[in-house]
Amino acid sequence: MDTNQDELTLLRKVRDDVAEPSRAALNAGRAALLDAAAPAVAKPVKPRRGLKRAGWTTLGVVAAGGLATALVLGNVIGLAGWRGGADPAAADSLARAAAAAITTSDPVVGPGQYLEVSTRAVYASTGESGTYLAHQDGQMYIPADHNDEWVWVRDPETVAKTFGPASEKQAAEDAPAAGPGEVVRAAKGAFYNGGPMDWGFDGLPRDPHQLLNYIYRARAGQDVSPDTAAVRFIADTLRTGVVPADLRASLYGALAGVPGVSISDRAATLDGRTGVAFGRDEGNGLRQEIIIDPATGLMIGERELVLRDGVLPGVPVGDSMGWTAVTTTVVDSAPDGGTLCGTGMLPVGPVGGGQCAGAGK
Amino acid sequence: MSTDSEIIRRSRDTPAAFAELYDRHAAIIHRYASRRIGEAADDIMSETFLVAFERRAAFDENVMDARPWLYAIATTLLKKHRRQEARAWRGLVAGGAAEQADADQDAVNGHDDRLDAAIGIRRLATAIRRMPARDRDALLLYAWGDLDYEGVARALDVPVGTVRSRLNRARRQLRQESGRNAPAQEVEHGHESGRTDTAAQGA
Repeated sequence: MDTNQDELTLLRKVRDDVAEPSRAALNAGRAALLDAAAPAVAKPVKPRRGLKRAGWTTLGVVAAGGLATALVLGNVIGLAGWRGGADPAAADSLARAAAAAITTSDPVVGPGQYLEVSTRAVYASTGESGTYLAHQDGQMYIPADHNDEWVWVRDPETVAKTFGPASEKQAAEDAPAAGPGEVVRAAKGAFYNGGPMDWGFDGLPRDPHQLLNYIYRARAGQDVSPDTAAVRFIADTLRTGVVPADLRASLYGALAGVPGVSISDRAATLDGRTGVAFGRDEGNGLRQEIIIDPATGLMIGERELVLRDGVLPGVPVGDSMGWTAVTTTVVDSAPDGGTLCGTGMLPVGPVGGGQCAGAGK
Repeated sequence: MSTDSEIIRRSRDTPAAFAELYDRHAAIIHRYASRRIGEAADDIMSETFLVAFERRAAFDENVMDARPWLYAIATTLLKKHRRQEARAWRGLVAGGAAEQADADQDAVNGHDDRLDAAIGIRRLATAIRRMPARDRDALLLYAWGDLDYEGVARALDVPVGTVRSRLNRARRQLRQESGRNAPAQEVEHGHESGRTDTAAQGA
């Protein structure tokens, strides 16, 4: 069994045992339909042949999807390079950030110490009343010896920002169900009875051009365009907070190779830290940005900005629909407590099988 | 066997023929509605086909498969049941729902399939409950409606690229909940297989 079972496989199993419609319900639905069909016999509707749905099989989409499928054959030859890259100012700035990343050494975690990866995350939460922004912060304590016990402190979910009465109402409605926070503890980082934590960094090429081709291939067919998919891949990888310096520099190099990437804000502030924001405007009203401290080459965080009214109802232009800020420090100890599956859940099935179930029932 | 579009075309002159479409797809619409909101699924199933019948003239005959169209109607009807759906997700988050109980029971009995469903169901439900409705629609049509990207795009009447973007954002939110949020992992474990490739070619 794949111990890193992916989230879609899991979702497909949620409520997969719902009851089939009863014979009575099926018959009632059929009867209602035939009832509606009966009087319509007298006036058959006119067909509208060849009604084309405009807009969504545009050449752009076809070209992008086709390119992603056809050209990403390897890491050496691929989408990277021949279509240009980031705009010159962004490329220049990213090259300097990469140089700084290489010279800034990774934090050294001594025996018995931990690398504390602190994540502040904000995301848009939408319900029937409105949209608000919610916080979920966490600190992961990674031991010097990865075989030892890791600790993940997940703070309670809180409201970060509301946008008027409807938004406040939604936040209040959601409050009782907000995640209460929990401490998870697992050897090898196998949280929630999963497999050992492995970010897969070893398999990523360090040459920026090859890395970018790898990314295009990995994300082929996903997201609104290959280039935005690549920016997101880079943002998602960086925000783990544990990317080694050499790979971080390569990721900046890869970002410099993505057409359309530009400096969107020279002084972007995220969680109290200021850096340069690099982003790509896809034309869909949202912009994914990666914010880097140019002095150290460290990634401050990432955010997705709303550029157009109505993209996320209730969230004004210029606000973000989500952001993550990451800091890492070396600490001498990790908090006590915590269990493999978190509060109220116990591991079941094989060790590392990714299975936890509600406890105390 | 007739394609869906052939049945719909026939129903323009012979309205009762539309019942064939019902016999073919009523169960999947019911199943989808039932997974999202529970009890009112019978009504959603019935209403979906009544609305579809009334709008059959607008059905694009070039499309063989009527499922995305039917899911589109069902999705619109489901919007009236947002409160009910939110309650269902909250139930899962709180761990008090029947599903959780079933999963626990099966865990005791050793049914592997249901065991899988017990894995952090609460974490998944948390992420799904709080994501924007349109991302949730795209995600659930893809995961539960078993549509490909193109099908989801038809069902939501948005470009395929937009579907990709919404699914990407939704999946990212789900991943973050599990702590396994490095994209390189997916590549390594080959999670992006058949369906994505097919969808890319279809785009």
